[in-house]
Amino acid sequence: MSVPAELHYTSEHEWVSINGDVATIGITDYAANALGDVVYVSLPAVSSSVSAGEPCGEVESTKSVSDLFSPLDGEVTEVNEELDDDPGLVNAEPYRAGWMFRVRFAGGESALPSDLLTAAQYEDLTKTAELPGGCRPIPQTPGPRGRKTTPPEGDQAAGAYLRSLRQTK
Amino acid sequence: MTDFAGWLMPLRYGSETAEHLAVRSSAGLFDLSHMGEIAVTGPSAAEALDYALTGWISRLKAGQARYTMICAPDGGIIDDLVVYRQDETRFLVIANASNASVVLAELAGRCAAAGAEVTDETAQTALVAIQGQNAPAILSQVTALPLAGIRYYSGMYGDVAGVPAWVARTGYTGEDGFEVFCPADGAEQVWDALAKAGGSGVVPAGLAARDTLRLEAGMPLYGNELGRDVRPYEAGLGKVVRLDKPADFVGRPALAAAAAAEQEGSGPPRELIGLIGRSRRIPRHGYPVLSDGAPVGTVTSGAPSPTLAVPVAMAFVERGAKGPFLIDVRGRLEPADRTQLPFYRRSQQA
Repeated sequence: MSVPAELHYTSEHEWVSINGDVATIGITDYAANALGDVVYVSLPAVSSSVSAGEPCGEVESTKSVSDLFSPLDGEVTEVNEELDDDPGLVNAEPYRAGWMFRVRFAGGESALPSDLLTAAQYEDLTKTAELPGGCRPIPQTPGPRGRKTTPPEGDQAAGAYLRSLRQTK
Repeated sequence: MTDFAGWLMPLRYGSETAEHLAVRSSAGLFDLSHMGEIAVTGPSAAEALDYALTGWISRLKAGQARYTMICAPDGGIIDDLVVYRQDETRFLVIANASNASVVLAELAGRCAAAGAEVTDETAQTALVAIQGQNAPAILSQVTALPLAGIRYYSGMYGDVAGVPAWVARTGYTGEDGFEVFCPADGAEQVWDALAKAGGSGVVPAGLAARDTLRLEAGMPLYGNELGRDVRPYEAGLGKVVRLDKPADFVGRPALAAAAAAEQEGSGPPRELIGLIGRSRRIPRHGYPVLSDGAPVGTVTSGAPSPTLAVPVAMAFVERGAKGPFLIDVRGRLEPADRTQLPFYRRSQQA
């Protein structure tokens, strides 16, 4: 999972890149992974005003949908129209070609919301949210057990299958 | 990885869309070891299952499989099942993981009178499925079983990659393919051998791909299209209720009444339909469906279809609702067209 050091982050798993009085916003690699394949991104209209912490769009993936939030107050100056044709850019390059929208905000860098996270803080956040790894299914709640069965006679392959089942713990 | 009915299961290995498309174009490998496997055995096993389930199980010949259901006395669906007659006196009942313990308890109760033995083999049994048009060619590299002789919905005992297994031509993807039941400690060997034999022609596929594959194929999922408050007729699955079998079975009077009502045209008040979304916002489970401005039902399953590249959904709507349909996608109404199920049907091969 990549968390570029030079970006700001939000607890909603978005990244913010500041250039003068314009912020570029996208979702993090962690978020893109958790969502799965992104199939549609609904973005705010250019020239509309957005408010910090308010939903301004949606990210649809195969299995789920998430609101897109604006991390700061301002006016939308540009949206990534490439995502309309190729929403998979969000998965492929979340910090580059997968950027989502740009907002002009007042007050410059010193006026950024105080709840933005550094890369290190964001990485800590994702660690506590991480899922367990491994890929073998582990029965966590064995069901009730029935009685033992007797293998049918005759068929050798059947006998082998049933014997090996009984030997499996 | 995700917690699924007490099992730690892979939701996806990489891109679930790529996994889905690989199953449609070549082959995918699934770990389905969470499924419940319950053996019903003994000379009276067939008779016991005729009473316990809606299907005419005693008519199965050894090696045949059947899609069937276990219903409550009121006709509500407790689970949908696949039953394999592995030999004259042994049946393997496959239950959904989330229902396995309920099905086990019901079967134990319902089969007791006939004297059949009911055994939970879930923990000892692994299930590896290989699905897709290239599945037979790949599987044939690691087994001597005559796969061409295993017809759709039938199975055979034999070794797969040196592991004793029950190999059945069944699945939940709408493609040709096989399900390999084997002892849990042989599962890795089977998986690795199939992955190696398939090379780049087979990809591991997770539960996310399995869900979109079955949805495109119009196959119901318990908890979405099926449940205790759903009778098979509403879900368009009346054919699994064999009222023509001579035996009494649990739920028969209620199901017979439902069937009679359907015959008279006063059938269930709702029906399961297919919808294709005309916007890019995805209809999902639980979203309201409207017709002529009035609510007429609810989406049971919805997803972006990787094969068709449009949103698809199944929904319960009031019988006869004509549309045009709108789906309330988080407060905004999106148009959708009714379509025949399934959304996808594979081209039959010679």
